[in-house]
Amino acid sequence: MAGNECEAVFVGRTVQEAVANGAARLGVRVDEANVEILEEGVRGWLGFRAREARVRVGRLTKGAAAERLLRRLAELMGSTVDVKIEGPSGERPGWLVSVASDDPAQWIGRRGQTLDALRVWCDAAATRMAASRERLAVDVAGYRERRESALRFAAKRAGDQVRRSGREVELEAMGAADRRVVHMTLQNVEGIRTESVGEEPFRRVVIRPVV
Amino acid sequence: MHELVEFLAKSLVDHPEEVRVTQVDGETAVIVEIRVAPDDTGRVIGRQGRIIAAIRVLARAVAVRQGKRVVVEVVE
Repeated sequence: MAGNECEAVFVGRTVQEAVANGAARLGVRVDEANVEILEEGVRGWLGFRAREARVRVGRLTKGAAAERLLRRLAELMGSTVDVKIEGPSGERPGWLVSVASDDPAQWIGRRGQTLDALRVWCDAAATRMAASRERLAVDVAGYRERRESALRFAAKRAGDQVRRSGREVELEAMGAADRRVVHMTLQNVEGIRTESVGEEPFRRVVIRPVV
Repeated sequence: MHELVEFLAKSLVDHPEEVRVTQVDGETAVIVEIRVAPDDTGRVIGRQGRIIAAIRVLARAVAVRQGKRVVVEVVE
């Protein structure tokens, strides 16, 4: 995939050795490298007709790193998943990783608590693996998408109420990802401004009239 | 349980070979202790404990299926 600046071709007597060379040079772990085998290499006999193995080694993209992480996690949790990754595009600045699981309830948790934890961990680990600060969103069984549209609806309604009444409205406590949706939804609405107040896990958004 | 926590921890740190995870099974609870290289402590805990909080939630999601409580601590 594009955007992989630190990528190069490495050689070795075997594919394994070539990959190890490349990974060491790039400072990535062998099991976290993006490897493309260019030539298998031939051992030859006493050096006759031997040919070196050639591989292209690079870092995984942030999305590919997230996919590997979630697949391995699923194995350890004993569930089967299908992972789909979508790269940054015009309407979405970061990566979106969609997970379909045979046990979505376990991956979502009460009020999306497990899903939020999944995103925090997956983002931190994928940031290290891909050495990329791009945004990463994780969704399971379309939960995040449904939750976001419900939040946008609630945010707009509360925003209207503040504009009509001229009095501030405090929303219920919610996680950082949810608060972000509320802030984004109302950021360009005239006559109001939003702010987060309080300490986790009771942090909440307050919508105030602008005077 | 310790296999899961070990994977979560190793995925976050710079020195995976120094990650040690131990597990003590009780009647109703499981205690999991994580040890990492000193300069990796921050990576496992995170700003304001965000990362370790996420690890705890994920461990709990697995533990409840076994009808157990789980305590995850980072030990220095």
